[in-house]
Amino acid sequence: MKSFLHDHVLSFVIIPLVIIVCFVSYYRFMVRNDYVVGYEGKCNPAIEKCFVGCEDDACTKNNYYSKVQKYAPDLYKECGKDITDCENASKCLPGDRNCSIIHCDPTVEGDTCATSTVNIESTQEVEESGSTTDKILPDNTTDK
Amino acid sequence: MICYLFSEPSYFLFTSGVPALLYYAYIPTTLVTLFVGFYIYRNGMHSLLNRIFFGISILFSLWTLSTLIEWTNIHIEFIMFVWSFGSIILGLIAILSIYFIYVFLEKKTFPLRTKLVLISLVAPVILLSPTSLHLTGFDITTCDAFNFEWLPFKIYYVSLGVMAMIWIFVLLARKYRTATADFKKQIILMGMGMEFFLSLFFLWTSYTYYLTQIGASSDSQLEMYGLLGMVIFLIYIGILMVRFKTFNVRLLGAQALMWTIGLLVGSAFFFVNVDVSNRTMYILISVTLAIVVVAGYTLVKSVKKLDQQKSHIEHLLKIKSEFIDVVSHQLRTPVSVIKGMASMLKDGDLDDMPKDQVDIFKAGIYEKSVKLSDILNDMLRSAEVDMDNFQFTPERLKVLNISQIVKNSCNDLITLANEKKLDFKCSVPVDVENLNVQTDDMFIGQSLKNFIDNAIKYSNESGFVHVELEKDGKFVIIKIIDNGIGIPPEEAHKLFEKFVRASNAVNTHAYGTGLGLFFAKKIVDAHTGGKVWFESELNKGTTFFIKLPISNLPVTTSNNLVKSGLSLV
Repeated sequence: MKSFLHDHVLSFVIIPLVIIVCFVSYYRFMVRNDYVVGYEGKCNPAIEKCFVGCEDDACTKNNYYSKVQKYAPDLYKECGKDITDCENASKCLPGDRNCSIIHCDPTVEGDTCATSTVNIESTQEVEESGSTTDKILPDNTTDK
Repeated sequence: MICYLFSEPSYFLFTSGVPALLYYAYIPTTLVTLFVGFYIYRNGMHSLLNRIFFGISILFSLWTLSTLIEWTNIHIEFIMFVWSFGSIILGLIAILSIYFIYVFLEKKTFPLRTKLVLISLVAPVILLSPTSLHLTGFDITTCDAFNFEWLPFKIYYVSLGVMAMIWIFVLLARKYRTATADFKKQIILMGMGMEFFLSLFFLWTSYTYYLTQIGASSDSQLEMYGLLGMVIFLIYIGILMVRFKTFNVRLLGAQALMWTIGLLVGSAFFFVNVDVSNRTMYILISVTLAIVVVAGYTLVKSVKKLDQQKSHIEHLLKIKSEFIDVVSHQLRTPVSVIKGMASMLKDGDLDDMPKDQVDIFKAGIYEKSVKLSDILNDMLRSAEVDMDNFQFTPERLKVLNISQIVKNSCNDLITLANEKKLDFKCSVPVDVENLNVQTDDMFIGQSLKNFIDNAIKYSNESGFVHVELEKDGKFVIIKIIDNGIGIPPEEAHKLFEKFVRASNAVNTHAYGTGLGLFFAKKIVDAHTGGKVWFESELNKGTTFFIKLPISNLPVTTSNNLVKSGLSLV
């Protein structure tokens, strides 16, 4: 019996541990949604420092965003499971846990920010007049 | 919540948004690994080495499956759940790889202390994996949790892989110095395969990151080539199986080659676009695969036939050389003695000798001629039963009292036991005294004598040999127990083969042809349900068990032999 235990000690310790961890992990991620979700929140380049990306492969239109992290249960409570059209997803509301919004910082290497609100405003005017040319130029043209 | 990079996958894994290389790199590799692991396990499920390899193959497959889910699934709760196991699988692969190499080199399990060390190394990874010390969140933009893994935790479980590589290298290097030339080759092959696998499996992501950083590569799919490490390892495993019969698997080179070609052609299914619109490509691959399978099957069948013939010839040559060995050792000595003594008789050298010395010479000639006669009888009897399914001829079958046969065999050998001053006992309990067995009286008596003679021959002076009988349902079991030299475990499987003697038996210089147990087992096996087995401990003793079916017929006498139409030989 002792020799049997010695021979199978790896299985006897590791297999129960993995099974327990499996249940704990299921409970944490699948039931409690105990994690933070990171995504690109809406950003108004007219009043905020926004990151700039492309909306499509051909980069015909810019996408302005801030980096948002929010605790998943709070996010689901405020927006449900689909956050695409949820205004609250881009804000940190009172009572939100682990919520943060990062705006673009031109001094940080690698960040691609919208240049200035003036340019942005003029662009908006151009867009409204029917032009397809987006004149907003990023500070840094490095491909992310 | 879902991430929007890809569309919902079909069949759990398949989506059109990911590179085709992903499926080509992951699915065939996983299937091949599982197949090889299961094949090795099925061919030796009692071997620890085979079981560990199977364990590694399952873990590897789980890892590739979890990675595929992480790549293709869009439900973030599920991806997080699966992601949390990646580190556990990596940690377990690291410690199992060390264990695997140790068992391969030493042919034994790790000491308990080392096992506890391995457990203590991997336990933090298992225990912390579902906690926020491992994973804190998920990035919907990139659809992964890479940046939400705690760096020290990540470094720890990757370090387990690096530690495994170093530990394995040390084990291999230490064993290499004292290994035989043949085993050295195996060590190199196994070592290279395992180190390749671990190095690419644990560090490929770091290599690709470094290559990207220095600008040597900008290929985003480079990461997927990391699984080639397992393919390389399997190639080395295949070579070891074909050349050295590692894992006790008999695999022909042609078989391995055909499996490889078949798998390579089959793998192409996963490289073409997952979209089934490319029908011509699928048809061409299917036809090519079918041709490869048919041609391969034919080739393997013919090679197998040749291999069987080769094995048969090798077996015959082995028997021949063992026969010559027995003849040269066992026959030459008595013949030389008889020849020398006969020559002295012929030349009149004994005429002047005192009578008591002449008597010793005469007794010597008699003793040696009896030994010669025994050897010849052994050979003739063995030749008579030497066929795959030996069965008694009906004319020689009789119903006999088994306790009487045992007593007779004991009586015939009591002198021999007394000469060695053994505690020799034959005990027949009352409940088995009247049990009968339908058997061949000459053969069964000789068979029993062979077992008892063996026990006496290989018992130390003043040891014991006990013969016991007991009833076990519809069977009678005869036990021959001794406290002799025992049987080396590594030679136990071939003990009943022709001309085979255990190495420690040969060292005792006791007379033996290696035919006694071969003959004895053949006789017991010829009874319906008859069986022989033994338990032995080296230098402590052996117990042989002989199981024979009980017959409810009355004991055969001359009268009922005539009645039943049987005749005495």
